[in-house]
Amino acid sequence: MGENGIQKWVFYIPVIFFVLFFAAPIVLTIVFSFFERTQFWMEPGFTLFAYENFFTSARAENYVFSMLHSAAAVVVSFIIGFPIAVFVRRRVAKAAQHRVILLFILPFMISELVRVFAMRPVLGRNGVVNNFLIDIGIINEPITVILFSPLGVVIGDVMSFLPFMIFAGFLAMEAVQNYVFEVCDDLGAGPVSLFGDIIVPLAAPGIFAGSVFIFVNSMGVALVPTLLGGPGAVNAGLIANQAIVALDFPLAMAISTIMILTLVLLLYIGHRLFDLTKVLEPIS
Amino acid sequence: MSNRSDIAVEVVDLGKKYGAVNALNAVSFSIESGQYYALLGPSGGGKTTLLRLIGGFIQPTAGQVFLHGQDVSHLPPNKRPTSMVFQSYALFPHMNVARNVAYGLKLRKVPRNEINDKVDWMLSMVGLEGYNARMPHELSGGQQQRVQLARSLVLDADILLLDEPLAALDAKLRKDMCLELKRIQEKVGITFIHVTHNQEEALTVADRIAIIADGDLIEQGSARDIYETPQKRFTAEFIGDNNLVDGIVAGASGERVTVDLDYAKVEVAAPGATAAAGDAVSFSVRSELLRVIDPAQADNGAWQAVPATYLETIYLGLTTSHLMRLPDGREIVARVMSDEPADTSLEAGQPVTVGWQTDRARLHVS
Amino acid sequence: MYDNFANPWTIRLKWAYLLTVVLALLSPVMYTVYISFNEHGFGARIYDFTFDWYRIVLGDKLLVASLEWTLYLAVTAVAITIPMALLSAKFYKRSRRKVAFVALMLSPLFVPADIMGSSLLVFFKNLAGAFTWLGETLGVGWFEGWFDLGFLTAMIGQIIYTHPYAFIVILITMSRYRGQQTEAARACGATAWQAFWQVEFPQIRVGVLSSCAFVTILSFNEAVRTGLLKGGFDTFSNVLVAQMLNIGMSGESYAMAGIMSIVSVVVIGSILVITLLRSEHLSRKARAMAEPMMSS
Repeated sequence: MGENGIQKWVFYIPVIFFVLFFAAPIVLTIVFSFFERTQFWMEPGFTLFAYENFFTSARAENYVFSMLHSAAAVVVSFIIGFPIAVFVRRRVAKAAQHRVILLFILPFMISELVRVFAMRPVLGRNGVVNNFLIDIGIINEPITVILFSPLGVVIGDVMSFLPFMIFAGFLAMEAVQNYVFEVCDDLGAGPVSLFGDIIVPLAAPGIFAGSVFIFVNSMGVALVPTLLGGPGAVNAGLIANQAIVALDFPLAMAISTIMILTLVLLLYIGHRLFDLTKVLEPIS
Repeated sequence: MSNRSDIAVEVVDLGKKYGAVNALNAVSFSIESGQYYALLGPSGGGKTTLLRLIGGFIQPTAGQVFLHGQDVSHLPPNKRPTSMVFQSYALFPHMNVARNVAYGLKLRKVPRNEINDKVDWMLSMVGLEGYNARMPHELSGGQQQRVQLARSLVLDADILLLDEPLAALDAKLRKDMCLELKRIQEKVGITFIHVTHNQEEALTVADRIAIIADGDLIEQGSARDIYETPQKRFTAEFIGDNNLVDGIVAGASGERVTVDLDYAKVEVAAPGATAAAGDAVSFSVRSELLRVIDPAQADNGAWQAVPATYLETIYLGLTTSHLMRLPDGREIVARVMSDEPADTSLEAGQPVTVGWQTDRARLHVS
Repeated sequence: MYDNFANPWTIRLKWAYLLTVVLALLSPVMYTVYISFNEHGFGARIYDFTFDWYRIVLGDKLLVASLEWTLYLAVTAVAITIPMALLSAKFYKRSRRKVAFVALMLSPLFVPADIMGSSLLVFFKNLAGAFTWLGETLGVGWFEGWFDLGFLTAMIGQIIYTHPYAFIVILITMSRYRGQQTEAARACGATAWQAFWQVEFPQIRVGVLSSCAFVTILSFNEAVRTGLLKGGFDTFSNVLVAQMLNIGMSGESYAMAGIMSIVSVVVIGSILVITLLRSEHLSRKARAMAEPMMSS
């Protein structure tokens, strides 16, 4: 194209911006995690003190625990959400598919803060769920395990991030050609074979992308354990947040580093297994 | 309705509507076991709908489908003795060749070693021995269609449905695959129903051809009959390179009718056709049977002749076409082998006489 | 429609399930809004409808000021993010290293709010320190206050957060645009800019409009990154977080949550309705044109 230098460089603005204000801060996070802590700030140096602090305290245990409840949120989201993606792809008229998927944009676009908080009057001791169950006589005492508890955190994560499993799952299902289903009908594949042999392998990149999104956000969004977890409920995001509040910046950076490395490791494994670039096929 | 055992497919008043649109009107026909049957017609004419109704991928809105005498109209695809080869390269992209072919057997819980034997045998049948471990994206279009064929044949279905199986291949490959399909069909001996819009493809593979257009079965017959003696005007227009001429029946005598073209009267053979004086009819003559002739040649009754104006010569390699215009403005083509000695004196605008042997024209009353 | 032998009742059941999930995702918020109109707040056995809580919120000067900050941020975020997302999508189309580029542009989706916020916070504090040091070393006052926490740093945090969403929406819209049209326009003598503005942009306008709405709402709702990076001012959602954590929920907080939900639903809902009506219109047109040659 006949463009002069300036026109050409305009297109590099986003790249430059993201290198400066996204990639650089992420890389420097790792560097800062080795800095020496001072009373209100930090100074250049090389120490593993922050990591020692992390691994020898309850934080490491909490980190692993938050990985577990995040994994639970992923599994629940998959079970609830992925069949919806499959259903829309297979049984809804082609022209209407996107519109049905768009239904899930609406809850996703309401403030996460409000959505997470809104679970309190629903799940609480005298919340909607308990009142309803008591009114129809299924229980006599309010169920307390669904709020201010690990279960409450998982429920909150699922309510917050479920739509992403549906979006990513649908995007992956969209790349599966119609003939695949017809061949399976012809060969006589039942629902179980169809799901296990065909749908899951073909949609794997999308399922994985959705799962990673839900996993890291469940680990990293402090709001959910803060508002819905019981006393002492934390996840990686909240540990980092608490470190910032305590002005222990190297510790916050160390936790962020561990979180980022967890993410990179997951993405690397996923890429080796499923070739995540396939997720991009519909838009290239 | 007796002895249905040798009838593989029987379709009775089969119809399909999409909303207010008729994709297929009440169509009836039957196919003998072991035949290679082609459904030929323009795209959008309903032939794929018909095939999918036979395969059970869509449900009919009217009529019935019998396979080997059994009413399967409302059975799903896997409950029918049919198997389908799809137009696109419909392989499972995440499975290698052997697993693609084996998948249907695996679903039927066939023992592992038996599956392997059958897969190997079927791959050699379609000319792909040793390709077991290849992935679909590593194969050419023709090879992918062979794998599809193997995947269907390995299930021992006795009716194979092929939905434009060669449409995505280039012309040369398509020709080779046609012969290959024919060879395989003869070897396995089961019924093939092949949908195509390509007449050359249909003529190459099929024992019998049905012409499908506008949701109707126009006519059916052996490949030779369809090409040489089409009954319907539509068939004559669609197949081969036919010249169609319209006129009014002036009189009938025995096996011949006289057609008045306004500018000439010609005799057309009409075996069994019911055309009475005054009927609007048409007749067709294949372009390779038309000749520029000496007017005197028509006098003995073996040839029919009409006046025309010469337009131009078009060289097409193997053949050469002579383009002419009839007095009513219709253009007609006479095609000769290019290496035949030709009259090079023809010039644009020159009046000529065009003729054909009387028994080579076919009368169409509809 | 995929016409086959599936039982219509199974399909109806699956539809019911789908709608139940949508409803389940929305109902807690709807309940919160419902409470916000109760004079007696949450937990009361009686329900008296009132706008009082909203009146209190909108009468509170501090809250109105925070709404103004929220608005400034949202407008600036749209003004910067959307052109940048357009540039990114164009860059993607012509880029030969698509995977690396997309990985960079979409990664922020996978970095959770608190982690991204902390990283940027420490980054900006160091950057500000570095500039102060640079100014002192050179003996000039220019660099004083660069990247001190404030509107600019909060803004950068929001761009990093909202850009991936805008980028995806615009990219999906653009993927339906055929590049030959630009080439045809260039062949007719248009400049690159004219070809974009007169030929391509009208065809991707819906995508650009919806991404504007998304960025507005994402920015409006954002609390964590802004909270860490904002320095001296408070946005509406920052105030709400502070209330939830420190005071607990009052009737006022319910009204604030109500305001945030209603704004989101109105903006996103109207964009959805517009998109749906438009695509309905387009598909009806396409169907009408296809009718005569349907089937096969």
